[in-house]
Amino acid sequence: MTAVPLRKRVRVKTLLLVLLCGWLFAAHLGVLLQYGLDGQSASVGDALLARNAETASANAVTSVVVSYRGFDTLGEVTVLFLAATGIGLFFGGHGRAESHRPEPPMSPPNEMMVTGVRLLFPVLILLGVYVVLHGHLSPGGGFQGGVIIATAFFLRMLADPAFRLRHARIGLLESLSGSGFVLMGLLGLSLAGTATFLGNFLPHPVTEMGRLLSAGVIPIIYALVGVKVGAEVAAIFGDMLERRGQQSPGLLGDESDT
Amino acid sequence: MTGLLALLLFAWMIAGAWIAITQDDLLQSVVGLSLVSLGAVGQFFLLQAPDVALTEAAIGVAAGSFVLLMGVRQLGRDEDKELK
Repeated sequence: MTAVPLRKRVRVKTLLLVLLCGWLFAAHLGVLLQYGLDGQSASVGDALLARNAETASANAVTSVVVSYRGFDTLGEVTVLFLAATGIGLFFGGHGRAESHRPEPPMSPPNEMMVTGVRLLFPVLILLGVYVVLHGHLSPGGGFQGGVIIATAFFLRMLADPAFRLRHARIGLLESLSGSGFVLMGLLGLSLAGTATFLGNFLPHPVTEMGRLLSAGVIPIIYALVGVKVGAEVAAIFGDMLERRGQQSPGLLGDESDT
Repeated sequence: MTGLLALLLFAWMIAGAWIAITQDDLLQSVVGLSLVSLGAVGQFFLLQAPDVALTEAAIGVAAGSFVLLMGVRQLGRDEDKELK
Protein backbone atom coordinates (compact mmCIF):
# COMPACT_ATOMS: atom_id res chain seq x y z
CA MET A 1 0.00 0.00 0.00
CA THR A 2 1.08 3.56 -0.55
CA ALA A 3 2.15 5.79 2.24
CA VAL A 4 -0.73 8.21 1.73
CA PRO A 5 -3.73 7.08 3.79
CA LEU A 6 -7.08 6.57 2.18
CA ARG A 7 -8.78 9.58 3.75
CA LYS A 8 -6.13 11.85 2.18
CA ARG A 9 -6.62 10.42 -1.29
CA VAL A 10 -10.40 10.58 -1.33
CA ARG A 11 -11.89 13.75 0.07
CA VAL A 12 -14.94 13.07 2.16
CA LYS A 13 -16.85 16.15 1.04
CA THR A 14 -16.37 15.35 -2.64
CA LEU A 15 -17.43 11.78 -2.05
CA LEU A 16 -20.55 12.91 -0.22
CA LEU A 17 -21.38 15.35 -3.00
CA VAL A 18 -21.01 12.65 -5.63
CA LEU A 19 -23.19 10.29 -3.60
CA LEU A 20 -25.83 13.01 -3.15
CA CYS A 21 -25.87 13.76 -6.89
CA GLY A 22 -26.15 10.08 -7.69
CA TRP A 23 -29.02 9.66 -5.23
CA LEU A 24 -30.84 12.68 -6.69
CA PHE A 25 -30.32 11.39 -10.22
CA ALA A 26 -31.68 7.95 -9.28
CA ALA A 27 -34.67 9.51 -7.51
CA HIS A 28 -35.53 11.69 -10.50
CA LEU A 29 -35.04 8.78 -12.86
CA GLY A 30 -37.47 6.72 -10.79
CA VAL A 31 -40.06 9.46 -11.12
CA LEU A 32 -39.47 10.27 -14.77
CA LEU A 33 -39.29 6.73 -16.11
CA GLN A 34 -42.92 6.13 -15.29
CA TYR A 35 -44.03 8.75 -17.80
CA GLY A 36 -45.05 7.74 -21.27
CA LEU A 37 -44.86 3.99 -20.65
CA ASP A 38 -48.60 3.51 -20.71
CA GLY A 39 -49.07 5.71 -23.73
CA GLN A 40 -50.50 8.47 -21.63
CA SER A 41 -49.63 11.76 -23.25
CA ALA A 42 -52.52 13.98 -22.21
CA SER A 43 -50.68 17.26 -22.20
CA VAL A 44 -51.47 20.89 -22.81
CA GLY A 45 -50.89 20.38 -26.52
CA ASP A 46 -53.58 17.73 -26.82
CA ALA A 47 -56.04 19.81 -24.85
CA LEU A 48 -55.40 22.82 -27.09
CA LEU A 49 -55.67 20.73 -30.26
CA ALA A 50 -58.99 19.32 -29.10
CA ARG A 51 -60.55 22.76 -28.67
CA ASN A 52 -58.79 24.40 -31.63
CA ALA A 53 -62.02 24.61 -33.63
CA GLU A 54 -63.40 27.34 -31.38
CA THR A 55 -60.86 29.83 -32.75
CA ALA A 56 -61.73 28.95 -36.38
CA SER A 57 -58.03 29.16 -37.27
CA ALA A 58 -56.95 26.43 -39.66
CA ASN A 59 -53.38 26.57 -38.33
CA ALA A 60 -53.43 25.27 -34.77
CA VAL A 61 -50.02 26.75 -33.99
CA THR A 62 -51.27 30.22 -34.81
CA SER A 63 -54.28 29.89 -32.56
CA VAL A 64 -51.94 28.95 -29.71
CA VAL A 65 -49.43 31.70 -30.45
CA VAL A 66 -51.91 34.52 -30.94
CA SER A 67 -54.98 33.51 -28.99
CA TYR A 68 -54.22 31.15 -26.11
CA ARG A 69 -50.66 32.36 -25.53
CA GLY A 70 -51.09 35.86 -26.91
CA PHE A 71 -49.65 37.45 -23.80
CA ASP A 72 -46.42 35.48 -24.30
CA THR A 73 -46.26 36.77 -27.87
CA LEU A 74 -46.53 40.31 -26.53
CA GLY A 75 -43.59 39.54 -24.25
CA GLU A 76 -41.53 38.14 -27.13
CA VAL A 77 -42.17 41.21 -29.25
CA THR A 78 -41.14 43.37 -26.29
CA VAL A 79 -37.91 41.40 -25.91
CA LEU A 80 -37.18 41.92 -29.59
CA PHE A 81 -37.88 45.63 -29.19
CA LEU A 82 -35.43 45.83 -26.28
CA ALA A 83 -32.80 44.00 -28.33
CA ALA A 84 -33.27 46.43 -31.23
CA THR A 85 -33.01 49.37 -28.83
CA GLY A 86 -29.79 48.01 -27.34
CA ILE A 87 -28.24 47.46 -30.75
CA GLY A 88 -29.31 50.94 -31.81
CA LEU A 89 -27.67 52.45 -28.73
CA PHE A 90 -24.53 50.38 -29.19
CA PHE A 91 -23.97 51.20 -32.84
CA GLY A 92 -25.59 54.61 -32.98
CA GLY A 93 -23.49 55.97 -30.12
CA HIS A 94 -20.27 55.06 -31.90
CA GLY A 95 -21.47 56.57 -35.14
CA ARG A 96 -22.29 59.89 -33.54
CA ALA A 97 -18.96 60.17 -31.77
CA GLU A 98 -17.00 59.41 -34.93
CA SER A 99 -19.16 61.38 -37.30
CA HIS A 100 -16.65 64.24 -37.52
CA ARG A 101 -13.97 61.93 -38.81
CA PRO A 102 -14.24 61.28 -42.53
CA GLU A 103 -15.24 57.67 -42.94
CA PRO A 104 -13.97 55.53 -45.79
CA PRO A 105 -16.64 55.29 -48.46
CA MET A 106 -18.16 51.88 -49.04
CA SER A 107 -17.10 50.10 -52.16
CA PRO A 108 -19.91 50.20 -54.71
CA PRO A 109 -21.92 46.97 -54.98
CA ASN A 110 -21.22 44.93 -58.04
CA GLU A 111 -23.53 44.54 -60.98
CA MET A 112 -24.75 41.05 -60.12
CA MET A 113 -25.83 42.15 -56.65
CA VAL A 114 -27.72 45.17 -58.00
CA THR A 115 -29.50 43.22 -60.73
CA GLY A 116 -30.30 40.29 -58.48
CA VAL A 117 -31.75 42.47 -55.76
CA ARG A 118 -33.77 44.41 -58.31
CA LEU A 119 -35.32 41.07 -59.26
CA LEU A 120 -35.63 39.68 -55.74
CA PHE A 121 -36.88 42.69 -53.79
CA PRO A 122 -40.54 42.69 -54.94
CA VAL A 123 -40.69 38.90 -54.78
CA LEU A 124 -39.41 38.88 -51.21
CA ILE A 125 -41.83 41.62 -50.16
CA LEU A 126 -44.70 39.68 -51.74
CA LEU A 127 -43.63 36.46 -50.01
CA GLY A 128 -43.37 38.24 -46.67
CA VAL A 129 -46.80 39.81 -46.96
CA TYR A 130 -48.25 36.45 -48.03
CA VAL A 131 -46.69 34.65 -45.05
CA VAL A 132 -48.01 37.31 -42.66
CA LEU A 133 -51.54 37.42 -44.05
CA HIS A 134 -51.89 33.64 -44.33
CA GLY A 135 -50.59 33.05 -40.82
CA HIS A 136 -53.90 31.63 -39.65
CA LEU A 137 -54.22 29.31 -42.67
CA SER A 138 -50.76 27.94 -43.41
CA PRO A 139 -47.45 27.65 -41.56
CA GLY A 140 -45.85 30.97 -40.89
CA GLY A 141 -47.13 34.19 -39.49
CA GLY A 142 -46.11 37.55 -38.20
CA PHE A 143 -42.63 36.68 -36.96
CA GLN A 144 -41.50 34.81 -40.05
CA GLY A 145 -43.07 37.19 -42.55
CA GLY A 146 -41.72 40.20 -40.70
CA VAL A 147 -38.20 38.82 -40.84
CA ILE A 148 -38.60 38.06 -44.57
CA ILE A 149 -39.67 41.66 -45.24
CA ALA A 150 -36.78 42.98 -43.17
CA THR A 151 -34.39 40.74 -45.13
CA ALA A 152 -35.71 42.21 -48.38
CA PHE A 153 -35.00 45.73 -47.13
CA PHE A 154 -31.56 44.65 -45.94
CA LEU A 155 -30.68 43.37 -49.42
CA ARG A 156 -31.97 46.61 -50.89
CA MET A 157 -29.76 48.59 -48.50
CA LEU A 158 -26.77 46.50 -49.51
CA ALA A 159 -27.36 46.91 -53.23
CA ASP A 160 -28.27 50.58 -53.20
CA PRO A 161 -26.03 52.72 -50.95
CA ALA A 162 -28.31 55.72 -51.42
CA PHE A 163 -31.27 53.80 -49.99
CA ARG A 164 -31.50 54.35 -46.26
CA LEU A 165 -34.25 53.67 -43.78
CA ARG A 166 -35.78 56.67 -42.07
CA HIS A 167 -35.40 55.91 -38.40
CA ALA A 168 -38.21 58.21 -37.35
CA ARG A 169 -40.63 56.54 -39.74
CA ILE A 170 -39.55 53.06 -38.64
CA GLY A 171 -39.99 54.00 -35.00
CA LEU A 172 -43.44 55.43 -35.69
CA LEU A 173 -44.48 52.27 -37.56
CA GLU A 174 -43.19 50.08 -34.77
CA SER A 175 -44.84 52.00 -31.94
CA LEU A 176 -48.13 52.21 -33.84
CA SER A 177 -48.24 48.46 -34.45
CA GLY A 178 -47.20 47.71 -30.87
CA SER A 179 -49.90 50.00 -29.52
CA GLY A 180 -52.37 48.36 -31.88
CA PHE A 181 -51.48 44.96 -30.45
CA VAL A 182 -52.08 46.12 -26.87
CA LEU A 183 -55.25 47.93 -27.98
CA MET A 184 -56.61 44.72 -29.50
CA GLY A 185 -55.87 42.92 -26.25
CA LEU A 186 -57.55 45.60 -24.17
CA LEU A 187 -60.59 45.61 -26.47
CA GLY A 188 -60.92 41.89 -25.92
CA LEU A 189 -60.57 42.48 -22.20
CA SER A 190 -63.14 45.25 -22.01
CA LEU A 191 -65.86 43.88 -24.26
CA ALA A 192 -68.45 41.84 -22.41
CA GLY A 193 -68.51 38.98 -24.88
CA THR A 194 -64.96 37.82 -24.31
CA ALA A 195 -63.69 39.57 -21.18
CA THR A 196 -60.17 38.15 -21.55
CA PHE A 197 -56.98 39.81 -22.71
CA LEU A 198 -56.66 39.26 -26.49
CA GLY A 199 -60.09 37.67 -26.53
CA ASN A 200 -61.51 37.04 -29.98
CA PHE A 201 -64.23 39.67 -30.01
CA LEU A 202 -64.86 39.66 -33.76
CA PRO A 203 -67.28 37.06 -35.16
CA HIS A 204 -65.39 33.90 -36.05
CA PRO A 205 -67.82 31.19 -37.23
CA VAL A 206 -66.30 27.75 -37.55
CA THR A 207 -67.87 27.27 -40.99
CA GLU A 208 -65.59 29.99 -42.35
CA MET A 209 -62.47 28.07 -41.31
CA GLY A 210 -59.88 28.03 -44.06
CA ARG A 211 -60.88 31.28 -45.70
CA LEU A 212 -58.73 34.37 -45.73
CA LEU A 213 -61.27 36.41 -43.78
CA SER A 214 -61.82 34.08 -40.87
CA ALA A 215 -60.73 33.51 -37.27
CA GLY A 216 -61.88 36.96 -36.21
CA VAL A 217 -59.15 39.02 -34.62
CA ILE A 218 -56.23 36.61 -35.17
CA PRO A 219 -55.17 37.83 -38.67
CA ILE A 220 -55.31 41.46 -37.51
CA ILE A 221 -53.08 40.78 -34.53
CA TYR A 222 -50.67 38.73 -36.63
CA ALA A 223 -50.43 41.50 -39.23
CA LEU A 224 -49.60 43.96 -36.44
CA VAL A 225 -46.98 41.55 -35.09
CA GLY A 226 -45.56 41.23 -38.62
CA VAL A 227 -45.23 45.00 -39.05
CA LYS A 228 -43.63 45.34 -35.62
CA VAL A 229 -41.15 42.50 -36.07
CA GLY A 230 -40.28 43.69 -39.59
CA ALA A 231 -39.64 47.23 -38.37
CA GLU A 232 -37.52 46.03 -35.45
CA VAL A 233 -35.34 43.65 -37.48
CA ALA A 234 -34.97 46.19 -40.28
CA ALA A 235 -33.87 48.76 -37.69
CA ILE A 236 -31.27 46.28 -36.39
CA PHE A 237 -29.94 45.69 -39.92
CA GLY A 238 -29.96 49.40 -40.67
CA ASP A 239 -28.02 50.21 -37.51
CA MET A 240 -25.38 47.61 -38.29
CA LEU A 241 -25.01 48.83 -41.87
CA GLU A 242 -24.92 52.53 -41.16
CA ARG A 243 -22.05 52.32 -38.76
CA ARG A 244 -19.64 51.89 -41.63
CA GLY A 245 -21.67 53.66 -44.28
CA GLN A 246 -21.90 57.36 -44.91
CA GLN A 247 -24.32 59.40 -42.87
CA SER A 248 -27.40 59.84 -44.96
CA PRO A 249 -29.41 63.06 -45.10
CA GLY A 250 -32.41 61.26 -43.66
CA LEU A 251 -30.43 60.11 -40.66
CA LEU A 252 -28.77 63.48 -40.17
CA GLY A 253 -32.15 65.15 -40.26
CA ASP A 254 -33.14 63.22 -37.15
CA GLU A 255 -29.98 63.89 -35.23
CA SER A 256 -28.82 67.30 -36.40
CA ASP A 257 -30.26 69.10 -33.39
CA THR A 258 -28.58 66.91 -30.80
CA MET B 1 -37.46 6.79 -46.38
CA THR B 2 -37.98 9.50 -43.79
CA GLY B 3 -35.34 7.94 -41.59
CA LEU B 4 -32.86 7.87 -44.45
CA LEU B 5 -33.60 11.52 -45.21
CA ALA B 6 -33.12 12.38 -41.55
CA LEU B 7 -29.76 10.58 -41.53
CA LEU B 8 -28.70 12.45 -44.67
CA LEU B 9 -29.68 15.73 -43.05
CA PHE B 10 -27.70 14.80 -39.94
CA ALA B 11 -24.64 14.14 -42.11
CA TRP B 12 -25.28 17.47 -43.87
CA MET B 13 -25.44 19.34 -40.56
CA ILE B 14 -22.32 17.69 -39.18
CA ALA B 15 -20.45 18.51 -42.40
CA GLY B 16 -21.59 22.13 -42.16
CA ALA B 17 -20.48 22.33 -38.53
CA TRP B 18 -17.14 20.80 -39.53
CA ILE B 19 -16.69 23.47 -42.20
CA ALA B 20 -17.62 26.18 -39.72
CA ILE B 21 -15.06 25.00 -37.18
CA THR B 22 -12.10 24.09 -39.36
CA GLN B 23 -12.14 26.82 -41.99
CA ASP B 24 -9.63 29.61 -41.55
CA ASP B 25 -11.61 31.85 -43.86
CA LEU B 26 -14.36 33.33 -41.67
CA LEU B 27 -16.61 33.94 -44.66
CA GLN B 28 -16.68 30.22 -45.39
CA SER B 29 -17.22 29.55 -41.69
CA VAL B 30 -20.39 31.62 -41.85
CA VAL B 31 -21.45 29.65 -44.92
CA GLY B 32 -20.91 26.43 -42.97
CA LEU B 33 -23.02 27.73 -40.08
CA SER B 34 -25.72 28.63 -42.56
CA LEU B 35 -25.60 25.07 -43.90
CA VAL B 36 -26.20 23.76 -40.37
CA SER B 37 -29.30 25.94 -40.10
CA LEU B 38 -30.46 24.75 -43.51
CA GLY B 39 -30.17 21.15 -42.32
CA ALA B 40 -32.13 22.08 -39.20
CA VAL B 41 -34.88 23.43 -41.45
CA GLY B 42 -35.17 20.01 -43.07
CA GLN B 43 -35.13 18.27 -39.70
CA PHE B 44 -37.92 20.44 -38.34
CA PHE B 45 -39.92 19.76 -41.48
CA LEU B 46 -39.44 16.02 -41.05
CA LEU B 47 -40.57 16.35 -37.44
CA GLN B 48 -43.85 17.82 -38.76
CA ALA B 49 -43.19 21.29 -37.43
CA PRO B 50 -43.43 23.51 -40.53
CA ASP B 51 -43.91 26.65 -38.45
CA VAL B 52 -40.61 26.14 -36.66
CA ALA B 53 -38.98 25.21 -39.97
CA LEU B 54 -40.13 28.49 -41.51
CA THR B 55 -38.85 30.43 -38.49
CA GLU B 56 -35.50 28.67 -38.72
CA ALA B 57 -35.30 29.41 -42.44
CA ALA B 58 -36.05 33.09 -41.94
CA ILE B 59 -33.96 33.72 -38.83
CA GLY B 60 -31.29 31.01 -38.74
CA VAL B 61 -30.41 30.82 -42.41
CA ALA B 62 -31.03 34.40 -43.52
CA ALA B 63 -31.01 36.91 -40.67
CA GLY B 64 -28.43 35.22 -38.45
CA SER B 65 -26.01 34.75 -41.33
CA PHE B 66 -26.48 38.39 -42.32
CA VAL B 67 -25.58 39.57 -38.83
CA LEU B 68 -22.48 37.34 -38.82
CA LEU B 69 -21.54 38.57 -42.31
CA MET B 70 -21.67 42.15 -41.08
CA GLY B 71 -19.24 41.16 -38.35
CA VAL B 72 -16.96 39.47 -40.90
CA ARG B 73 -17.06 42.58 -43.06
CA GLN B 74 -16.02 44.80 -40.18
CA LEU B 75 -13.40 42.55 -38.59
CA GLY B 76 -11.82 40.99 -41.64
CA ARG B 77 -11.97 37.55 -43.20
CA ASP B 78 -8.81 36.08 -41.72
CA GLU B 79 -8.97 34.19 -38.47
CA ASP B 80 -6.52 35.41 -35.89
CA LYS B 81 -3.89 32.70 -35.64
CA GLU B 82 -2.97 33.56 -32.06
CA LEU B 83 -6.41 32.55 -30.91
CA LYS B 84 -6.07 29.01 -32.18
